[in-house]
Amino acid sequence: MYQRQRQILDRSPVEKLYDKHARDIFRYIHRYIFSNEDADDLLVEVFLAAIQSPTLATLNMEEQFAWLQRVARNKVVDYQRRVTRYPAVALDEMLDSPFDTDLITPEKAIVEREEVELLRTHLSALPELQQQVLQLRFGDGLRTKEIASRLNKSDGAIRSLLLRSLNLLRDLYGTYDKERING
Amino acid sequence: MDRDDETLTAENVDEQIEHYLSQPQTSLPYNAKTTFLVVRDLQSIYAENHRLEQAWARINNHVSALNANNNSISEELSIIQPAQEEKKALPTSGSIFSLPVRHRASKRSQQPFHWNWRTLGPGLVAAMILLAFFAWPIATYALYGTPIGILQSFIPKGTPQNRSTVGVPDMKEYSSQYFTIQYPSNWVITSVSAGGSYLQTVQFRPSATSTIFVNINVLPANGSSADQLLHMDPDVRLGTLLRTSSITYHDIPWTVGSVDLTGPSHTQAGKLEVAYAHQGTPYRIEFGATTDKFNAYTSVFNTMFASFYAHTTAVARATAKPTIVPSVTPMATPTGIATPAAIATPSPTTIADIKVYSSQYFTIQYPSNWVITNVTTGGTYQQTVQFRPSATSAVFVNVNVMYHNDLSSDLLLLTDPDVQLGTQLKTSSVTYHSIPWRVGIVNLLDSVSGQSSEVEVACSNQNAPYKIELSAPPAMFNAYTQSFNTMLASFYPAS
Repeated sequence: MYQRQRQILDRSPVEKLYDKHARDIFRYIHRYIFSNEDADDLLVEVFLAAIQSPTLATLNMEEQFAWLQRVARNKVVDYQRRVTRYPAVALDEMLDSPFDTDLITPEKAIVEREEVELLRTHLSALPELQQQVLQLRFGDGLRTKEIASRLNKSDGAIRSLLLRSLNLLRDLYGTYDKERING
Repeated sequence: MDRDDETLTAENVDEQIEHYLSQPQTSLPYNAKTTFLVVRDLQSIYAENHRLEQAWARINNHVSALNANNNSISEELSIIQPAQEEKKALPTSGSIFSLPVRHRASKRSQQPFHWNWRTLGPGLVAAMILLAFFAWPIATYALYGTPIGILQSFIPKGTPQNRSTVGVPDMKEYSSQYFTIQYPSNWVITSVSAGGSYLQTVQFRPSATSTIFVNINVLPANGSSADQLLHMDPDVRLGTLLRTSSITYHDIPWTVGSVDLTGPSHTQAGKLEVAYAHQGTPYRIEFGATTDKFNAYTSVFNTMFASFYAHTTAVARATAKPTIVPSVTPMATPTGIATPAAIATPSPTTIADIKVYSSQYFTIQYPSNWVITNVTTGGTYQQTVQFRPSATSAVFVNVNVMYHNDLSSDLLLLTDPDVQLGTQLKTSSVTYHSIPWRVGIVNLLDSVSGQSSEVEVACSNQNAPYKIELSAPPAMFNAYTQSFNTMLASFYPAS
C-alpha cells in the first residue's frame, strides 16, 4: 500500500487528510485530465492549497472532502483554460459534459472501477507476506527470483505464493461476475 | 475461468505475469482472460499507489522548502499556485466560469469594472479571508517567533522544520541525440525545443509552475571557448557575475559562472549558475532559482550536472587511448534494489586518479595505478579487456563483450561458467545509467592449484550483452570491491 513507507503514528492532519481523500481527488482530476503528469501536478496543488487554507482545519471530514473537491474542480477548470486557450468559453458547460468524445462507456468504467475496488479490498485482507510479494511483483516490478532473494525464500516458494494469490483474486472476479449477472 | 487460465502453474506464473504485463492495456477483448484482468487491475492499483506516494513526496518537498523560508511562506505558495489566492480557497460563483479566460488576471484588471452585488459580496469575503490568512501568520510570528495555529497544524510532522536543503530523490534519465542527463523522478520536462539559437533546448522543473529550473542548451559549433561563451551569455550579461569556476565531469571541462539577478531591473531576485563546455559540440547548462531557494536545490543541481553526458564527445572519445583524468565524479547513479529511494553515488575519494579506457564496444574508468594486462578480440567473447592492479597481481577485472543473444541478465548470470562451477554466495541487482545488472558473488576452488578465489560477476543485456567480473583471493576481495563497483558504475556501452 502506498502508505507503507510512512509512519502510521504521529501523522499530521494534512497527512491524514491525504491518506483519506487523495485517491478520490486524484480520480476526480483524472476523469477530466488524461495526462498523468498534469493530473499529478494538480493533485499536489490541491493539497498544497489545503495546507495553505486557513479554514480547512475548522471543517468536519465531509466538509473537508467537499472543499478538496471544489478546489480540485477549480484547478481542473484553470487547467482546461490554459490548455484549450479559447478566448471565452462557458466552463460550467464544459464540466457538465466533459466526456463528449469519451471512448469508455459509463457502464464499462463503472464495472472496471468496481472490480478494482473489490480487488483492493481483498488485497488488504490478504496475509502480510502475500501482500508483500504482490507489492514487490506488481508495484516494484521484481521477478520472483529477486523477490525470493529479497525475502530470503526460495524461488519456488515465491512462485507458489504468487500463484495462490492470483488464483484467489481470480476467483473473486468469477464470483463477482456471477453476482452481477444474477443481479 | 477459461482454458488459458488453467495453464497457470507455479513454474510459469512469473513468466505469464510478465507476458500479461507486456500486453497493451487498452483494447482489452470482451472475453479477456480473467488472469489478465487480475494482473491488469493489480498493476493499475500499484501504479496508482506509486503515483500517490510520489505526489505526497512532492508535497513534502514543497513544505520543506516552505519551512526553510518561514518568513516568505505566502510568497512561495503564491508562486506555486498563482491563481489560488484569488478564489481557489473559496467555492466559485457560477458567473466566473463564463469570463474570458486567457490571461485572466491581467485582462480583468483592464476591463471596465461594474459594481454590483454579485461581484462585491464575494470580493469582500475573499478580501477578508486573504487578510486573515496573511495577517494571522505574521501576527503569530511576531508574537511567538514561529508560525502557530492552523498553518502549523497542517504542516506534515515528518518534515524537519529547519530543513534547508532539498534532498535528491530517485532519478530518471532523459536522453536525446545530443546528451543524456538524469533528473529527479518527481520533476517534469517543461520544454523541449529545437531551432533558433540552439540545436536543442530542454527544460526541467520540479513542477510545471515552479520557479526552479534547469535548462540545457545544445549550441551550434562555433569558434569560441567555454570562457568566452560564458562571458557572452545573455543571462550573465544581464546579471552580476559573482564568480567563475571550473569543474570536470566525465572528461569534459566546464566553465561555471554564478550570476546574481538581484536589482531593480529584475522583477524577482534570482540566482543562476551557467555552465559552458566546448569540446566538439558546445553545451550550456543553466541552473536557476529564486535567491532564497537556490542553496536548497544545490545538491539536486550538482547531481544533475554530474550525470550529464555529452553524446558527441562520447563518440569522439571512443577511439581515444586511455587518458588521465585529474578529477572525475563518477557518472553513475546506482540505485541498488535494497535502497531504491536513495542515490548512492560512489565516492571517488578513495581512488586518487582515474583513467578511461574506450573501445568500439564500451567505455570504462579504472584506477590510474592499474594496468591493462590483456585485450583479446574474438574467441569466446567479442572482446575481453583485463585490468589488474599490477602486471603480476592475483586480482583482475575482466570486461567481456559477449556475442549478441536474447538471454536475460538473470540467465546470463546463471549460465556463467564461474557461477555454475563455484559456490554461490549471494546475488543482487543494480542499475547504472538505466542499465540493469545482475550481480552474483561466488567462491571458486581451483582444482589444480587448490587455491580458492572469490569472483563477483555482473551481467547485463539491455541492448548488448556484457559481463564484468572481479576475481581476487578471498582475503583481498573486500579490499577491491569498491574499485570494482566504481568501475562497474562508470561502465558505459558504446552507442
